[in-house]
Amino acid sequence: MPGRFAIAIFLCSLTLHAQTPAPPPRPLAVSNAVVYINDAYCSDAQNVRIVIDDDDRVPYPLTGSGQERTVITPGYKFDATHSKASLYFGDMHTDCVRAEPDWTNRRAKFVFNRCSRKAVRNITIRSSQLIRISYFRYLPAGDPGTVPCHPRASFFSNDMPPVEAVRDQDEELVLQLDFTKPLPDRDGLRLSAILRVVEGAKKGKRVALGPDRIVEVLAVQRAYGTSAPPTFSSLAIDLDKQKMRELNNPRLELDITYLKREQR
Amino acid sequence: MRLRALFVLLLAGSAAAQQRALFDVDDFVDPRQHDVPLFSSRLVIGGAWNFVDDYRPANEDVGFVHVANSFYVRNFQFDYKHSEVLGEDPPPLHACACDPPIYFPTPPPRDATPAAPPAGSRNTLQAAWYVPVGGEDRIPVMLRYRLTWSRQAFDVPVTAPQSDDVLSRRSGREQTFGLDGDVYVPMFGRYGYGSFQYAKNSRRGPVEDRTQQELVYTSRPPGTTWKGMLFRATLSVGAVSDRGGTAINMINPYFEVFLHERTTRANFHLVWSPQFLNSGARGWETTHQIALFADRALLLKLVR
Repeated sequence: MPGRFAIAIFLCSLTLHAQTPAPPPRPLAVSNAVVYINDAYCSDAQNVRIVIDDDDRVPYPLTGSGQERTVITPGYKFDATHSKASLYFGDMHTDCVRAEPDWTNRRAKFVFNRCSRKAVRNITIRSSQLIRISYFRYLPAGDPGTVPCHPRASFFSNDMPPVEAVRDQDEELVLQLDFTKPLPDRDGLRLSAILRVVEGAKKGKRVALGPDRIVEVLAVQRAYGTSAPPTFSSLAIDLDKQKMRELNNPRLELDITYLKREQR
Repeated sequence: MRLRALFVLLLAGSAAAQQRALFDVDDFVDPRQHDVPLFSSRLVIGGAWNFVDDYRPANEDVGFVHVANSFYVRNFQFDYKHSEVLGEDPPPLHACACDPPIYFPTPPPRDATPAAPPAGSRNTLQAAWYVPVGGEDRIPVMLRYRLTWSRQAFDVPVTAPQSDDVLSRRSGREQTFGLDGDVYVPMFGRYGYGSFQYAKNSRRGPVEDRTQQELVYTSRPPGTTWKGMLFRATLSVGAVSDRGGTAINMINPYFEVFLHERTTRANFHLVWSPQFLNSGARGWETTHQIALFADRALLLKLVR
């Protein structure tokens, strides 16, 4: 009997604990940050840019050199207690880290302990039709202290700027055609599926995707089970075809350029 | 080692389990693919060798015509499906001149696999709910949970033992109530998809009543592609009641080749689905079910 009583108290305490989460930290809106790059492999690099809060359109340049650098984001305030950031080094893209607040100097602090050695490539996308193309990138958490993030952007142009330093192994790039803004909870045309289906894409050649090819890639994605159980849904194929017709049968050209192979 | 390999196969394989008919094509549509309600009507035509109806071999080759009407709104899907299975006419029952009458051929014993219902028409209603599941580090996956109710009526002529004169007709009906749901489970360090199905099938007549319950797990590994065709292999394992014995008595690998033909907008399916069924009376038996069929949309309407 006492045993049961003890178990009941334990369960009650667990429930109470679950119902009283720790209060969120007080926000600190800032527009400047100090950035530490603690990996000798990349700490001397020049032209380093930072993406804050997943906005891939506006990478801000870092100033200074060596391990400690700074960044100012004119006109944009972000939360120094919660924002995420990653660094572009031209042929490198780091994992994302969470900001730490520097209350004394009222600024954010981002600490990058490791630069990615993974193979990367730039993806340039051109469309035959003027359609809105959004994209988001799924960067999983890698080394300890890093967090998953989804840098994203949207363009309404036939010739959008390249998507930079997309990692070969662990990153997924998702193109969303005719999306007014990128929606990371929805699927789209995945780079991994294009590489699997379209001949030459893996070797870094320029590849063309007509409407039928786009529909085929999407069907392969569903068969592979990328965001739902594997399915050969005929209706889903018909829906994709209808969507292509509504977009006046766009033709995409992808330039997949390897910038760097895997480093050890 | 062999046992381990079998275990891996059981977990990593999957099957479009036979609670739904072999020719009931995939109708999974991720709600994220359409912002407005969607209505679709689809025709499926084809044939199957060694047709198996709900884990009961029909011991015949059949043709089939199937029309699936589906309505998708937000995270819900509603279907009305009608299928016609075209096979040989059921053999007449012979009744002895006794009281109560005895019918020949006698139905399979209680510990044997029941006979499949005669080929005929079947109506099915379904309601499904799509649920997104997922975390921050990947696109949420969409799983589906579905209720199915189907009904089939049939009648069989009764003749005198020594003649072909039809004395009467005995009618029967069969209905199935089923639940199935997708799962997304960690497996060997990665995530994999599967489905659970439960179904209760009740048949009344024409000579005897039988009820079977089915609990089946289907493992659904990724498909693959080659030369524009899609391939998949699945594996179902389960227990089907009312045929003697307990525990796992159904193993069903399933292999499908799928081709979407761009010009006609038809989809072609080639399926090989061997079913290994165990019954108390006859032990393990294998039926190699092979089907070839095509489907095409009759109507596709986005309700804007």
